[in-house]
Amino acid sequence: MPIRLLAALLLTLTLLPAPRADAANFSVKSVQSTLDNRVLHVNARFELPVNPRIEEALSKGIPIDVVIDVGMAKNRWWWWNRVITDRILRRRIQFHALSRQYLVSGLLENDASESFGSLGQALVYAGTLDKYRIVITAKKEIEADARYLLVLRARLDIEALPMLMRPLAYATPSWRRSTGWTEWPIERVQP
Amino acid sequence: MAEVRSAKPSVNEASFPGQTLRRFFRLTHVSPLAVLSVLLAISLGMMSAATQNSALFGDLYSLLLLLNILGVVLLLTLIGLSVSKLFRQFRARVMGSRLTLRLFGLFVLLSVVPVAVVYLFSVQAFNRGIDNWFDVRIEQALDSALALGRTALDTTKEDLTRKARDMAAELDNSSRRGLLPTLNALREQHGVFELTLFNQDGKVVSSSTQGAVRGKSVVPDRPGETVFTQARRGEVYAGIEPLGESGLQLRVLVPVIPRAVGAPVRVLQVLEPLPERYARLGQNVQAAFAEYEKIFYLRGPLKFGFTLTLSLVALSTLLLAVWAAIFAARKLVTPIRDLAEGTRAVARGDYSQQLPVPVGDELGILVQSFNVMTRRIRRAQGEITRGQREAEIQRTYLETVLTHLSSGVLSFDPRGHLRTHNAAAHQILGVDLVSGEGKTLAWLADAHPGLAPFGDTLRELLRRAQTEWQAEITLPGGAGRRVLMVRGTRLPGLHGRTGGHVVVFDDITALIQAQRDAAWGEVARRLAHEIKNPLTPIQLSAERIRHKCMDGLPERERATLDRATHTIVQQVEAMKAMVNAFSEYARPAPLHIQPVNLNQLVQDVVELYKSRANPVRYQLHLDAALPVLQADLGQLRQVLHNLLLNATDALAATDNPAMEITTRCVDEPHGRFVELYVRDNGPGFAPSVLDHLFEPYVTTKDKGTGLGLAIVKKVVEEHNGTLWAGSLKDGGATFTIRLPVDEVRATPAREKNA
Repeated sequence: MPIRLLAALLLTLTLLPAPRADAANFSVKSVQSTLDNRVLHVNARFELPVNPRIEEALSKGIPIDVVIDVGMAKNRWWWWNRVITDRILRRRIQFHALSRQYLVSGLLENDASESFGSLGQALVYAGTLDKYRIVITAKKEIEADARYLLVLRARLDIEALPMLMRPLAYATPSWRRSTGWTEWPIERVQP
Repeated sequence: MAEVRSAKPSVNEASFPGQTLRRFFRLTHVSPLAVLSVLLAISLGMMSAATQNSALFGDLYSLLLLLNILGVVLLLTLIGLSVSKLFRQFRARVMGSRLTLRLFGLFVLLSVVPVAVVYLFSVQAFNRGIDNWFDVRIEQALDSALALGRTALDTTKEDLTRKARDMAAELDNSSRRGLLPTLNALREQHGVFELTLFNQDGKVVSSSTQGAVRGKSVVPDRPGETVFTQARRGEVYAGIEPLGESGLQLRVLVPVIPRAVGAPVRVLQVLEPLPERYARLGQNVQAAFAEYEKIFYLRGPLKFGFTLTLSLVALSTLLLAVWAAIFAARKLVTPIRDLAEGTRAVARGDYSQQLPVPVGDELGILVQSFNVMTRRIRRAQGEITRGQREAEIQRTYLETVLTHLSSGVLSFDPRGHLRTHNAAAHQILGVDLVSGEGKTLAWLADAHPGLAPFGDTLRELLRRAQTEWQAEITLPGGAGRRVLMVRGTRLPGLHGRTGGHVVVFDDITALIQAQRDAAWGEVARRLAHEIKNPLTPIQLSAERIRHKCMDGLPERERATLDRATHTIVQQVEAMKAMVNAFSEYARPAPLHIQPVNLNQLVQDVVELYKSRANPVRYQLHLDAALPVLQADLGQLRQVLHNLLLNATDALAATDNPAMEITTRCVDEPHGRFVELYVRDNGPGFAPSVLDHLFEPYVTTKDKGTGLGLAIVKKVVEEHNGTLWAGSLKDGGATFTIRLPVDEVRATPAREKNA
């Protein structure tokens, strides 16, 4: 994704102060994953707190995209980890003014959305990976004695914001929400 | 070695793109500035388009923004470098840097001020314009519409809630067995879309859907976790949910509280989609409101975006203008700087400067004129140099001619100061004339009293300033009187003024001497001839008288006659000898040249004079390394005899007479000589005699023919030698004879021919 790459470059170019540590950023609350043969099962909860700025944008009808990157990597002590597989899950949170509901789309099939009476519920819903399955299609065999890691990240996708907001969002720390890449151990189910 | 070889291609590769780019710019005459400007303009245009309509380049917005910022940074860097270079040059006082900087400042001022003004006004104008888009009344209207929609929905919701409560009450009454029929009946009775009964755990107990009647497979719609929990606790939930694209549905959850104590609480869910028209209107209001809210919210970012775009455009324009200003200032100043440098070079005397001519404008004409000027100056300079060289050659030529002239040449400026002189003049006068350059003739008389007659006469002649004149000047001197023939000519002066004089003179002493000698020789020969003729008849007559008269005379007379005739005959004999000597002197005798060792000759001759009767003491200083002479031995012997005889006669009255004979070799610039020096301690010569010492019949002695020294002179001259005589202060005479050694080889052929 060259645009994303350039966006990241732009982000560093702006040379603005990093998000304040006390301002609640996205974080991983709990992770549980098992590898059964070639199927990876993931249960994860993300804490996706929003600041008033994002809340205001939501209430004004701006959709917010939360992107969750899920992947499996093989740990290599002598080199960088090798990514075996990765998935990008996009969840959009939007406010429906007439019904005063927060809609979360991207989880259900045929683009349907789930509605919630409060933003908190919607965020909990969006930040949940419930019994998520990844069938590993990589040709390389899963080695029995190798150490595999689950890599996770949840972030707010600035590029999905309306175009006019992007420069400002890139320039404002409160819009830069991300858990950063996190690594988690994977439980192996012995056959 | 291998490393070097392998390193080379990589270096070439590294520099290749830059070179290609540079060559491209040079060949196509496209300025990198123009390329960058066009690129920036395109990217800014795209960005502006994206700002106005996000469908256009919306996805590229961030990329465009980044590119533009990079472009601006690049421009800033380039300008920074150029400006810092300009300042460095200014500080180093490079020619033209001050003007460049001034022009640059002017250009920047001219471009920055208008752009800044336009920028500020534009930002203000469109900020106000964007604010003006939003109208409070429209906002209120939309709010009201939304509120109206909500109220309408709430009414329907309350209605449905009431129905649900009724149904829950009825359900409670019904038995478990007829649950589905009851649900179906209730659904149809109340006219709702779907009825579902959940048990406490959230599992579906029974469900009735409108479509199921028509045989469609229906999975009951499950409520959310939170909602269900709320209903299970005994609270009623009623909510409106968007359904698909444009639909809305009402969801109501009511608890079914059993009458029996301890029985589990069940939950009844009623779903009722809103009528299509209703829903569409509601969604329209929602969409319009949402859109308005969004736009209203985005006006901040929109302003920011527009300001950003405009700032980038303004900044790019400004920077390009600044860069163009640097470029233009440089371009403008380059010919001026060239001119200044060229002028400086010309001032230094370097006329080879040719400047590159800028095209078209007045500066071009100026530079062209400068080039023409330097070319002309250079040509003139060349001609002057050539003229100087020619003059130099001419001068050298004249100097050479003068140097090799046997006549002495002096030239004087109009005020009578010595200007030039040649080697012959120096030789003839025997004076170093270099120290007399720029001095008047008075110097000559002062520094060399012997040349006073020459100097005085010449001064007098120059003073008269005749165009041409001629004079003979006699100089007294130790080596004899010398006669100079002097000819003068007035030089033509510049601009009608009187020029100086050139004086040419020759030493004609030898010439006069030769003339005199020749005259003497002629006289001697004639005299000898005239005298010799009557001598024989006289002698014969005397003898005849004696023969005829001798016998007839008495004894006394006879004796007298005998004595008389004897005297006559004797005297006639003597006269004959004398006359023969004369004619011998006058007649040129052929030379018999042979190698002669002078030392040997001197010793031989001196030996003859060493006798008891001769009181003279002879002292010889003979140079052992004396070269062999090519000369006539007999004549040289005669010379020595004459000199020794002369000295012996002169020493007759001297006590303790002594003679010193010295031979030595003398190296002179014009040849090698053997010198014979004879000195005695006799009375010496009287000054009056000294002048005519070598002329025939000059003698101080009682006897002798008076030809001795004349013959010496004649012989020496026939051997191309020189001789002079002198008196010593404490008495005594000296003779110096110089004979050239190997004359043919020693003297250059040219001189000999001349």
